[in-house]
Amino acid sequence: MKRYLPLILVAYFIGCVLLILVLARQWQDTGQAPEQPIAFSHPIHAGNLGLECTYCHQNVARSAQATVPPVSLCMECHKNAAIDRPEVQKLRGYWDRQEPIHWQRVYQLPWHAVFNHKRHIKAGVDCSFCHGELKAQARVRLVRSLSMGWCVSCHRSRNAPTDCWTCHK
Amino acid sequence: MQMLNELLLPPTDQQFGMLAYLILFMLLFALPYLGLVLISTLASAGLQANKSPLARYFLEPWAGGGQLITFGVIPFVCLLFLFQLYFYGTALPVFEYFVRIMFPLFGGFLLVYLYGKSRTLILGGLGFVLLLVAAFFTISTIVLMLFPENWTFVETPLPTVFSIQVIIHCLIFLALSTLFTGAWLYFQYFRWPEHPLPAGDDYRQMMRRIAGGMMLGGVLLLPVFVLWDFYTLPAYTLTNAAFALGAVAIVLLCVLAIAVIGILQATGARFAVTVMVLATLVFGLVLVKQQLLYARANQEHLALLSERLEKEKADWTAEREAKRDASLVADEKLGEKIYNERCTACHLFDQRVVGPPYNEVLPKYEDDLAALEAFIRNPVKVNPDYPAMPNQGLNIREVKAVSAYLLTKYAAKE
Repeated sequence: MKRYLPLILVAYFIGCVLLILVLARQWQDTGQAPEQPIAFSHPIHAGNLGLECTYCHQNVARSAQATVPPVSLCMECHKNAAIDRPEVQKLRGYWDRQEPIHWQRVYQLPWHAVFNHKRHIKAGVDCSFCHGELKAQARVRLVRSLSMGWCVSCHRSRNAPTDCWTCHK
Repeated sequence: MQMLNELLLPPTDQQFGMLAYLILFMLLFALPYLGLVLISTLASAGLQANKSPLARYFLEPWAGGGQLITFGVIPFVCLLFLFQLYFYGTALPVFEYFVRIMFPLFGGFLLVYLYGKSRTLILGGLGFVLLLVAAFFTISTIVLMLFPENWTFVETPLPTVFSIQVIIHCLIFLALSTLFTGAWLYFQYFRWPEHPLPAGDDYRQMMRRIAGGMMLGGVLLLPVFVLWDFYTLPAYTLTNAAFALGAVAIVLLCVLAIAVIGILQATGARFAVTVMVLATLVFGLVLVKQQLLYARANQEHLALLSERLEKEKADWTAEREAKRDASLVADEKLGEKIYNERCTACHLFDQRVVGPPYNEVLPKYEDDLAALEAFIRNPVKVNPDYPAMPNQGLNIREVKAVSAYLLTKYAAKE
């Protein structure tokens, strides 16, 4: 047994390193900012150009979903603006082919929880409270845990309903 | 604390970066030393209970008055101010947390010092308990850095204790401290000439077994806690670099484990320097890894804070300048700057870009500067052929400057 002790130890540590690599891989697949079909830049649109969130996410205050803008809205400006940029040319390609852009979803609640953007906007919750400072995110990434504890803490602090039924229909 | 917040200046992005390094630097002193004293006191008190003459050798090298003040007290006082600045602009009463931690911490250090002098078991036991309490609450305050999303909701007098992350971080701290203490004890008594053990092979063997046992316990448990930590941390705190540092720390622990087996099986002073250096390195690496996680977790908070400070600064400047210049004479240079930075992205004089050409829309404002100012301050969709102009968020002074500049430029072109 004594002879094999160093080998057992080495196997244990190699196992731990492999587990770290597995966790890292899992995080890269699910937790990081996913690559989008077009490298849309919030820092340029919301930061440099100063567009308000609702300029593109027009339904955020009137429906449960914030909704991603249709290509036609992008084309209102990009028919003429920045048409020499490769990413805008990609956009143009979608428009010419009349094809929707399959954006990768970043903020996804589990199936058993519902969330309504309209109610939260009406209650005066700023977009950045959940989505962070998008003007500084070159690629949109998850910046909150979206855990139940976090939601409930906020509901309590704002005297919003905390019955299970509020979020779990 | 309101008074302290008023004394502190809001830090900029770069200062936040520097602040994170300063906190890391202080933690690199404070935590290993606290761990060393904590575990040494426990081991010493255990031996003292068995009336072993070895008891005094566990604290003697590092629990002198000067050492306790230099490595124990001063870094914590510095951390108090650094943390207050780090949490600037949040409602967290971090200053109060640290003041509360100071009582068990300084009380614990004092009792350990007195125990080192008198070796009265009760002093050692009480000192250990107080230091353990201080370590627990210090770590629970540090762990707050990982969860900026909860800062708004922390209302309890002490930070979010008993969360799973606090417990895991405490376990990591205890495993690291046990490893670090074992390595330093072994180095101290098998390599360092100034503190010889009492004569006799039995004592040497006993010290070797205790130090080796501590190191072995630390190296075996630490990877499990590090993995558990990675598994439970929210995705937004993680980075590739943190995973890489975690893996490097485990590889070093593997080397340490093999060295420790060699130490336990041999009789000489083998690997004393190796284990001391590696244990110190692993402690440092784990702290750096934690710092990377904090930095990543707070990226958004810093961006929001920096945006807020920029806005406050701009408002303050605009207000001051508006007061100074009540007549608001349009600033031509400012107008030109805004025109070049904002307007030209969508408008030209003679051709359509995103918005209509100026030559089409400016004539109606030629004799009505106020109407142009009102439109720039609050744009509405006028012509269905063009997208609505977004609100540029300009202050009164900027609107006046750019409106006057546009009309002057238009008149000059005519």
